[in-house]
Amino acid sequence: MTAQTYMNTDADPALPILDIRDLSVSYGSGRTAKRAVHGISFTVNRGETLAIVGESGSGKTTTAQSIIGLLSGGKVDGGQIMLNGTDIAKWSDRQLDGLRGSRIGLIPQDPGTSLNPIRTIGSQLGETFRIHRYPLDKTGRKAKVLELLAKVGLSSPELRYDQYPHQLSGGMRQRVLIAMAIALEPDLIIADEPTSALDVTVQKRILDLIDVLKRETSASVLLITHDLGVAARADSIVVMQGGRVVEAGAAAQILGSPQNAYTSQLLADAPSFSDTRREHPANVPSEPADDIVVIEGLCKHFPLSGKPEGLRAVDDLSFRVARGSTHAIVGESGSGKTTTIRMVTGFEKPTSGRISISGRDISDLAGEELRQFRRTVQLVYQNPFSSLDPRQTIFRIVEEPLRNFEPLAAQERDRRVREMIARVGLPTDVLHRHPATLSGGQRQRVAIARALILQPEVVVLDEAVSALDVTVQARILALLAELQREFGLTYIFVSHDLAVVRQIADTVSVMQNGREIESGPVETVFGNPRHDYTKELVASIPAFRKPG
Amino acid sequence: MGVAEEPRTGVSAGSRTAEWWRPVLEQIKGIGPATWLSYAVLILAVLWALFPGLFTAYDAITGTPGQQLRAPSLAHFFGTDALGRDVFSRVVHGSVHSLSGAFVATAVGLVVGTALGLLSGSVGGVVDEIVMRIVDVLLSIPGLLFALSIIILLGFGTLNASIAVGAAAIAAFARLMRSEVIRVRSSDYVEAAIGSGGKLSSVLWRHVLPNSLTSVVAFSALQFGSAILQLSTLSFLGYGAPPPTPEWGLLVAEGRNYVATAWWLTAAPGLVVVIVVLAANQVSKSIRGRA
Amino acid sequence: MSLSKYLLSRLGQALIVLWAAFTLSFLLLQMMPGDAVLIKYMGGDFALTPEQLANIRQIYGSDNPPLQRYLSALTSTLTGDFGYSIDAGVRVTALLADNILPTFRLAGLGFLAAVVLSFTLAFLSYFSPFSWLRRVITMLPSLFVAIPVFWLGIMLIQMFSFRLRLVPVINPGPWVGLILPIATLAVPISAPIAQILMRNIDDVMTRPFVAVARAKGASLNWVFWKHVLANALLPVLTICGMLFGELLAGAVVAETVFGLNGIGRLTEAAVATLDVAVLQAVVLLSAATFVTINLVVDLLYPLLDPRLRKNAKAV
Repeated sequence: MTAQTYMNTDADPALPILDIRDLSVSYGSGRTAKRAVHGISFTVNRGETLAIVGESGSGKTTTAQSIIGLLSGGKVDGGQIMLNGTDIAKWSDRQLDGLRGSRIGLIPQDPGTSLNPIRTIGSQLGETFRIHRYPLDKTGRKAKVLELLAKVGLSSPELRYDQYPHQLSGGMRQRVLIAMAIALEPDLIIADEPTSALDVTVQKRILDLIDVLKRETSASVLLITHDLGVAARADSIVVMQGGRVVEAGAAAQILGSPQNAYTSQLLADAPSFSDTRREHPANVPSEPADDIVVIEGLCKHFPLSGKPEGLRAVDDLSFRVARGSTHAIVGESGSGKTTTIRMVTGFEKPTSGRISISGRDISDLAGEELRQFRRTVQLVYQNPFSSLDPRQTIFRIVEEPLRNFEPLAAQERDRRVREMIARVGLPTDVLHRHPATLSGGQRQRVAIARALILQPEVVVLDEAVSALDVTVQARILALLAELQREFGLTYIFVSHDLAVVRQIADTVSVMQNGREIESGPVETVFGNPRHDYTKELVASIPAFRKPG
Repeated sequence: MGVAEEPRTGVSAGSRTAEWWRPVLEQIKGIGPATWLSYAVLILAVLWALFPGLFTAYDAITGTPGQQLRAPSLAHFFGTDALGRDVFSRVVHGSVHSLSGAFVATAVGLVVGTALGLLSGSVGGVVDEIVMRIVDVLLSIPGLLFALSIIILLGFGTLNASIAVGAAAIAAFARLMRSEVIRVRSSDYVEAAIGSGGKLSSVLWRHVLPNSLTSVVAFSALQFGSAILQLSTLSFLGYGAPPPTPEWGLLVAEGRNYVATAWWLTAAPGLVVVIVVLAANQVSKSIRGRA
Repeated sequence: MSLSKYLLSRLGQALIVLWAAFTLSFLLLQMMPGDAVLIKYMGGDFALTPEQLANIRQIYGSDNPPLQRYLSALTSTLTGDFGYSIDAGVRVTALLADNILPTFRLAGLGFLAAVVLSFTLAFLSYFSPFSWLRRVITMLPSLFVAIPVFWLGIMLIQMFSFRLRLVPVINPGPWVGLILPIATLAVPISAPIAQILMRNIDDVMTRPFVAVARAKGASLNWVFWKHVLANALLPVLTICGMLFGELLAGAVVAETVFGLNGIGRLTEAAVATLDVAVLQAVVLLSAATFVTINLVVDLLYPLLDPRLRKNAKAV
């Protein structure tokens, strides 16, 4: 009934759909209360897409949650949330129930966990109509749901209707969630990082779909994102930092001539916008024969019940990496890039093929030989939260490789650890701290220090900057480039983010379903892609060219 | 904590010794009042066991004639029993039986179970398969029946009952240790340690053991409380310590005949058991929470 | 793998566990130092000659070499013959038959009461409008597990029979007499169920799909019944299977404290008189029950969780 009373106050079409005035939000209470959003204001006009851009801790998600009234553990301290001219900031949960789903829709971040695993797609979609007491019987509801499923571009809606979430891919699940958000044609759709959990080619299609549906239902979209490339699709942009709005305006203006220093920093650090192609390291030898990594006809098959040939995770892969250069392996999840680097680092044995590193065939190494080989190749993991032992001090973590190999005096080890910690840009006082007290960027620096302390020739970076905020990401990338020049390192850089790859790599292999479909210098592959899949990948780099 | 914390000699001792205890101090600061109280209760119980004379002047075995079945008072906190014995004194003197029994039981389960779990989780393959099947079988027999079967084999008495309770806990310890070892082994930091040239033995020692032990230690505290309960049950049924040992379960069993007239005979020792077990469980929870 | 194939392999595993349980209990119980024949017949009342003792031993088969005893025990167990109780002098199967129903009734009702109690606690804590009440309720299970079952039984008798005089001590009706034993049994069994249920409800509440349902306009009530509860119940099912051992131990104690006849009393007497045959039969019976319950739980899982239904459903 609240929904009805709300709808009756037919708003002035001149009013903005959403007007946030001086909104403050905090978590906790009493002495432990912590303010997350400090009196922000912005307006979403009818039919407009507004993007809130910020890094983790900027308060962008908190803002979105407070608009829809689903702050977990937080509360609105002050300010107004004007939806169609009505202030809903102080509405009770019960009142908001009538609004959610019908006037405000939500597209969540992670399609993998955003659907109830034990209920069918059909029943979860149809639920929206039941909650809002639509006068529909079972068949009417089903017809509506099938229509929605078709609308969001899902093939064979009849089949999907009775399926469970685990039977759908990530992209398909996100389509189902979009269908839920638009089911009752709300005025405002809040999309909270709607693509960050998806593969790049899927990302683009999902963003396109949101655009199309927005136009069809004449809704407004509030897009929450950390990715300036995604935000570039919006009409206007609000940049947030530390719970405050630092800059707001039309997208073209923000991206074209940012006024605020932080916005400029964000733009400079965002791989998809930076024009800075890094120069080739000065010490790359010119003779082409010096390829430190040579991979030839590499195959890896995993046994799979039902298939005699097993799963071909990597199928006839070949590439060469020149000493001192950076080779990138790009591909989406399941493309075989992780299996490839696990073989290169000696954690997995190839089924067939040759891996030669520094002139040494490593495919058959085992035992002590393999252990000695590990000095040559070091791996930096994607997740700095899980790759450091939570019980060890930073000193211990960085020291450990030395203890494994060098019979060094304790003083000498101590000196080298301190040197390396300083080299990766960390203060000395982290030495006696535990990983839990460090930020993500600091941890990744520790992981890099651990990898470099043995003075390896090849460093494999497995999505090593993917979990980091853009400004942190930019600083780590700069550090990696510096270290490469200084120590003459060779990098194998695995990533799904083509924008980052374009920035850091010299050569690239594009993988799909375990096969290499294209490889060569980055400029050639990205500038003039020959394979359809590469074309699609390149096209889906958000805002590949700066607007204007 | 603490496993990875010990200060080492020789390395720039000045700065190192000044800072190693800081995380320990932070850990202590993080302990809540309920946990402090629980530690206090356990320490008090241990003191009862070690120096009963400090807490009570009465004899636990021979009673005072003319003092039979007195209700709790300032002279006798927990009243007196049918033989004129001070119940508080019997509870204090009984703590050594209950606590040492629970200690033996936990130690048996911990040592044998953890060893089996470590073996199973780190060797894997056929060994793992065999150990886990044995664990399945042990788990299929209810704990009490398994303990009773062992008591039949070993005979009655406090020590035998403790061993029986401990043996019944082996399977649970083994399972926990195995799953912890497998969890830690599949972590990125263990792979990173191998990747930086660590030998299997040193990786097990430096990473796998310290990181799997926290849950096992927490479970031991839980098991300690549970062992007190099970031992008191066995004594109550008459398979543990023989009378007139003031074992807590036996005290309740003896008081049972006076349930209509002298409520304190059963209530007091039972309450002590509840409080000590609650404390052990709270300590377990706090260890687990800080892992 | 087809469903029937899966069923067969699970059944096979269960039988192997049972066989191993038989072997283990045989080893434990037949290696005992004193034997029941000695205990029963060496007392002053009988004053049997060594020849007579040997004769009795031969009748019970306790003179044969261990392997032969093991094999004959195994074959007779397979035919459903658990031998004779030395103490009572009757067939073990007859003793079991006399005692199994009361215990089954007590344990079943105790378990039911535990489930009701734990669900009540979980619902109260979820729907409680006061945070202090919620805190008190979440602390209750920790208290419940710390209480010795036998002591709880005695305290209940003292409270309800002697102080309040609500339940008569002497000759209560067959059902009235069960009230206190069921309560005694329900308290410790409800603790782990309530703990797991509450933790799971809290856990499921933080999952993104709950936020999505809320964003559709679903009220807290709707979300609880349509999304949270079913997801939170899955792990509870596993715990319920594992709790059988606790339930049986509770029944043994409750029968002893309240003087009820049943498997518990039988077990207690068998241990006191070293009546090995009875004890082994009880061990086997409970292992079989445990294995069956967990088999049923495993088979129930795919019915409740579609993610485990992969094999049954064509893609």
